[in-house]
Amino acid sequence: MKDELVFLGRRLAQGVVVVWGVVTTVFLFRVISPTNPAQLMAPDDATPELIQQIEQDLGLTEPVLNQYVYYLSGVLQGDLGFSYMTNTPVLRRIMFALPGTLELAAAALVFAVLASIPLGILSAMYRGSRIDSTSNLVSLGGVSTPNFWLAIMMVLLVSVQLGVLPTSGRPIGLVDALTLLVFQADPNGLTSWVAHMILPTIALGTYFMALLFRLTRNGVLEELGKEYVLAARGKGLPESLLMYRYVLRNSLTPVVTVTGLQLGGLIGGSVVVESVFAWPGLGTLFIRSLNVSDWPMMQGILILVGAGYVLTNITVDFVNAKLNPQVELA
Amino acid sequence: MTESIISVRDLTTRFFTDAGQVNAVSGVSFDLYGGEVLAVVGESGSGKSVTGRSLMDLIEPPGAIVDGELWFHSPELAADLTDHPDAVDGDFVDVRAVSPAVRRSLCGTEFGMIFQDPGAAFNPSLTVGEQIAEAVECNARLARGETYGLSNLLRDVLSPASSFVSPESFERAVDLLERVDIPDPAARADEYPHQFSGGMLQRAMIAQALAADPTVLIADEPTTGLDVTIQAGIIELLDELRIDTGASILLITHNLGVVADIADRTAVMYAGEFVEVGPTDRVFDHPANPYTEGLLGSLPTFDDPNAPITPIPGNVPNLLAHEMPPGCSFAPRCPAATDECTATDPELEPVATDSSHRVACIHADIAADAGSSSLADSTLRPIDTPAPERGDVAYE
Repeated sequence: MKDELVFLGRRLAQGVVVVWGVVTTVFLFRVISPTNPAQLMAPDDATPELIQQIEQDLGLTEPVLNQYVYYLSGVLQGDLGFSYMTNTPVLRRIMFALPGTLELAAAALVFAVLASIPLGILSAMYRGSRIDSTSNLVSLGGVSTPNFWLAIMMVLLVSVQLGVLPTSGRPIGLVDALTLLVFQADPNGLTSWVAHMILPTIALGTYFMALLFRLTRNGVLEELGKEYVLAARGKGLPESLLMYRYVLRNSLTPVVTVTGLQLGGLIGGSVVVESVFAWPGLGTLFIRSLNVSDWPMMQGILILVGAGYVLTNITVDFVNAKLNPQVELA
Repeated sequence: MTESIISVRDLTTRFFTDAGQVNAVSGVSFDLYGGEVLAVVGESGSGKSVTGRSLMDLIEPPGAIVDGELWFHSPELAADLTDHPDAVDGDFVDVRAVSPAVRRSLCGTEFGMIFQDPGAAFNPSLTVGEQIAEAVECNARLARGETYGLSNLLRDVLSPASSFVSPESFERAVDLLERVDIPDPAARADEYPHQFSGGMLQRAMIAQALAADPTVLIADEPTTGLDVTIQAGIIELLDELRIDTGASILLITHNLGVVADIADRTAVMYAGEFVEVGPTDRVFDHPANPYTEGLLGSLPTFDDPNAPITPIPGNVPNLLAHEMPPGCSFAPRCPAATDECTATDPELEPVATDSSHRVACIHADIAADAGSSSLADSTLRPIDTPAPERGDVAYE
């Protein structure tokens, strides 16, 4: 237990340094950016005096170092500033968009893991069979298809041609849908949530699924060739237990690592997928802020994603150390 | 009185690879007697390990045991299997002819396997004690006639209170570790394989092989990866266990010194076939096959450290079916080879009048006269006259 706490403490301290790096970098991006936010915010016929006034209001006339210290102390207090565009607190806007992105990323993750790991095991166990060659083909397609293209094609086929699922939008969040179901016994919210989730989930999760499938298949194949699997078979261990304790457990280390690393990728990938499906999440918010050089908003989103990434990696290292006793928590 | 525990007849194991068919073991026949140590020696790639694994039914695709009978002495099982007349002969059961489930339980309980590389034969993510206890548990469940289904698996995986290994099995695993002279066995049982030294891990492997009180121990190169001093300890332990438990040992090795130390009989393997088999002192002192003679000649001796070492020219043939030399597979490397050798593939035949010493060589007599080696020493146990060949004996 002490080892675990020391590990978490040290990794969190390292994580703080990383997040500080992210804060500094995105701040520098803004400083070197050639666009003048005051110009963008001002009406087209604004006088130079007005623009200067806006610059002063935004604090852009201060020395860069002062701006940096001011921003950093704000971040430390949980204040990410105000949006240039809407003049609302950045944090509130992010918190509003976050559930959409988290739901989508989680759904894509669940879809990818649930589809890839069983398929990977089956493929490895029946190597060279039809199920193996089919899965391999699908995974090759999966890793080589850009998600925006897949998203557009699915919308065209499933929503436009077949008219089965909605093309875009997120009319209701999971929490609201569940509240509706539980307190008013109204399943329509949940049905609508599911219907709107399906295509974005597949679009975002397919690459991830294909990747995990290959890792699982290769890992299981490698484990199946290990002598300790043979030895376990020789001592009469039931095949199902052998597959779980000797093969799956040992082949999961790379799967867990990549899952953690790709979680960041899922959030990043959601930028494109959210745009295609007009999904009100962090990705859409980021693109919109980018178009109008809303720097505080972009900074806030990047810091949040960076912090999430750091936390995920700590979790992954922790899980790996639990799976593999040769890995020491350090 | 010694009696056969295992009678192997025409065991043939092949691997069907992309490069072609590999005849790893080609029609090997031998008997293993109660309480004896039979050494199988040969160069790398001669099919020794595949022979051992074939007995354990541990041949995996692309390999397969394509032919042969493996008669195991088990009066109880023979009585149970009266409805399978093909698989039963007197007190013997043909392990190859019974159902896979019976075969698995037989191999798991009656045969214990000691693998060459203990570091590779233990799962790195489970403690050593846990893995030995698994073997104990498998045996206990088998004895109770329990099956292990998916529901058992789910319970063991999902419920922290449930586990495959019972506390009794774990205690027995600790006892087994103590039995193989591992100091502080209770503490070491909770350690992982990477925390063990090579020699200690090999002892743990032996403990695991003993979990089911096996009748036969198959030791596949048990000392190869170890220091010489540790090798001696392992061999001593095996010898001790043989005496204590009465188990027979099939010792697969290329270390002739180890063979001379503990083997009652020695079988020499070359290119997937037994080329000579007999009491160890006979094989070492009067090798009848030019190959055996070559093997012994390639060893340094203590008697005369300056004596030249004579290597066997050439290499073991590739065991790919279409690249095997015709006739005797040793003929291309054999100093005594004649045209006759490439024309016929010799069978194991008794050497002169001694039926316990057999050799597969048409020039056996010449070789036996010429060959001699001083490796086998006088400390070898006297060898009982082996029981008659299977088929000649009336089983009761």
